[in-house]
Amino acid sequence: MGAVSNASPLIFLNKIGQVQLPRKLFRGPFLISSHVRFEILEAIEDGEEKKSLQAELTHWKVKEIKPDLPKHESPGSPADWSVFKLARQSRPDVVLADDRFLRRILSAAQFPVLGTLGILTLATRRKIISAKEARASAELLVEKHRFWIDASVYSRFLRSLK
Amino acid sequence: MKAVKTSVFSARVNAKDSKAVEDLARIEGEDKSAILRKLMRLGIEAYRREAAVRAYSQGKASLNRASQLMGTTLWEFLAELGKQGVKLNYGLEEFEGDLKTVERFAR
Repeated sequence: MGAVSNASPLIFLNKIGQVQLPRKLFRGPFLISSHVRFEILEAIEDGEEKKSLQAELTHWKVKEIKPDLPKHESPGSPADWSVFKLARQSRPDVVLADDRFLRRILSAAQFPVLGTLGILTLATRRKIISAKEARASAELLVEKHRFWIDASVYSRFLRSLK
Repeated sequence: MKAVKTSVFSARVNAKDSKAVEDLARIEGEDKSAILRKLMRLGIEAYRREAAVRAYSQGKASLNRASQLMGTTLWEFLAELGKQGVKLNYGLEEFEGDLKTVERFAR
């Protein structure tokens, strides 16, 4: 039950003022690993961005996870593996992640995965935000926050809003 | 004063680089070891940055892992990717995967 998140969807959603969307879309509990919490709040400058992230994280339960690291060299970090282990332990309805490597290991283990753009799309389908708001949020991500993605992904995202 | 732990290793350099180190040592009024340490620090930082971005764009490292390779935070690494115009490892395959999940939760 609930949702587990990696760092980047919460970071990106926060940048566009939509960090509460996961809690509007899914039922709790909302879980992050202590590794992910550290990554989100590590070295972030004081200001509105930090305040809103800190406020949002009060709704997310932080789990101390000792990740099972593979013996061979892996593209994943301890934080990635902590998300995977937390998902395996808590069997959430969804895992929020953008990064290809983490998504692949999660998908291989049959977890439904959703990234930042997917969250905006789902919020549009459920009429939590309008298509116009979703488009404006994506534009803001790309143009102001350097969320560089391939043009084909961006146009597919725009088509998915229709 | 706190003692700094150091280690010794040797490496061969070509005559041109050796001359450059000697020149810098003379100009700066420092010994060659001190100059080499400074050059290494500068080089390591730049090389780590380059290697981390390369590893990420080739899919050899996740975002988190690449930020560790660069010796920095996830925030700084994301900023570095943005600065260099490197695309996120989130392509059509990932978005199509998202759409499947969207269908599952749309109702």
